[in-house]
Amino acid sequence: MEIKNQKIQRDQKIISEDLSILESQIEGLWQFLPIPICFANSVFSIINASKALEDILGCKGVEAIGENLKNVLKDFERIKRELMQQRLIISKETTLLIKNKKEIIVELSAKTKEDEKREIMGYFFAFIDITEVKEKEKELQRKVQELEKLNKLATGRELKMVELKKEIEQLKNKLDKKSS
Amino acid sequence: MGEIQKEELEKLLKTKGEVRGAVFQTDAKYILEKKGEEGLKKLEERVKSLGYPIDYREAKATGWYPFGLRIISLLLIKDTFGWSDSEIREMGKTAPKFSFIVKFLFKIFGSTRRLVKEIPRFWKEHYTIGEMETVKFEEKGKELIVHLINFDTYPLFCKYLEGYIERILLFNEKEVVTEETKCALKDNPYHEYISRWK
Repeated sequence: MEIKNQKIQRDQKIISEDLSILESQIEGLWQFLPIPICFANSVFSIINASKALEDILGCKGVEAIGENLKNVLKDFERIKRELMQQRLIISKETTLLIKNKKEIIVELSAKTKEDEKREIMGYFFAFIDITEVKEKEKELQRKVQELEKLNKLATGRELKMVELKKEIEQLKNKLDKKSS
Repeated sequence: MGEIQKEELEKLLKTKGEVRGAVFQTDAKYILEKKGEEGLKKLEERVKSLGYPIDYREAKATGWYPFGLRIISLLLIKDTFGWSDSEIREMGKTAPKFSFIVKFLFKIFGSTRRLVKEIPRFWKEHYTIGEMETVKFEEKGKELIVHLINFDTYPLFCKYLEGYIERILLFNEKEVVTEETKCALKDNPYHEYISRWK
């Protein structure tokens, strides 16, 4: 009996040590990951957030933990509805509300975490900041519009020149007839 | 040393029971956040000079340590930084955000109802003394009453725990207020914490 107890204690110690290692690895991963991701519980409170997400949100330390995604996502209700129905969202454009009332355009991906009965226990969220891409897109659009304008202008000038050439030709012909 | 007497701490060290190392990690993370590396070093030096084996950096989250060290850590933090009881309550309120065990349990038991069911086990995950039980949980009435029995330790811990319970509920509920309405250190048979939310 004593040998059995000793074995149990030894096993418990090993499990405990393994858990500690696992914990530090998981925590390290949340800190290291350069992607803004988080895990939220069933009522959308953030339980874990990567350092990258904390940085994007402008949060210090554990400020983001406990924050509800309702206060962070501009169109939270639409995303929630979609996630409840489809249980997976891939690359959907939305807006993150960050500190100082600023906004960031992101591509959101989300997935439900379910138990064996498919009951939702939480959600994984990932956000990719596309603000810069969007700004470049706008700039490109503006340049295309300018080019179109220029093109219209150039085409108009060309047509006018053709017209003028015709007119010169006609006048030349008239002059030739008169002199002959 | 400020108000704490060494004899008082020595008496605390003899308290029966054990606590998970996670609590010391949590204390360290809070100090780092509030006072930075310098603050943590100051606390470590204080602990070391008094000769208590609290290792804020190397404590294993799932390892068991003498319970007395838990109270000693809180008392020394309060004393070192000159914090009030309400600041220690705030520390308790922030603690679940750092706790690996809390986050882990939240991933498994998302809803308040499921979480409340787990309270006794949750307590045992952290402490080998005392029992925490849910006496009343009203989802519609938005009220939770928990009792902590066989746990006569130190009044400062009551404040810490008040904040801790409040935060746990705040993960799921809005505008939670938790209050210790009965204290075993004040001639009551148990500690009673009542939480209400909107």
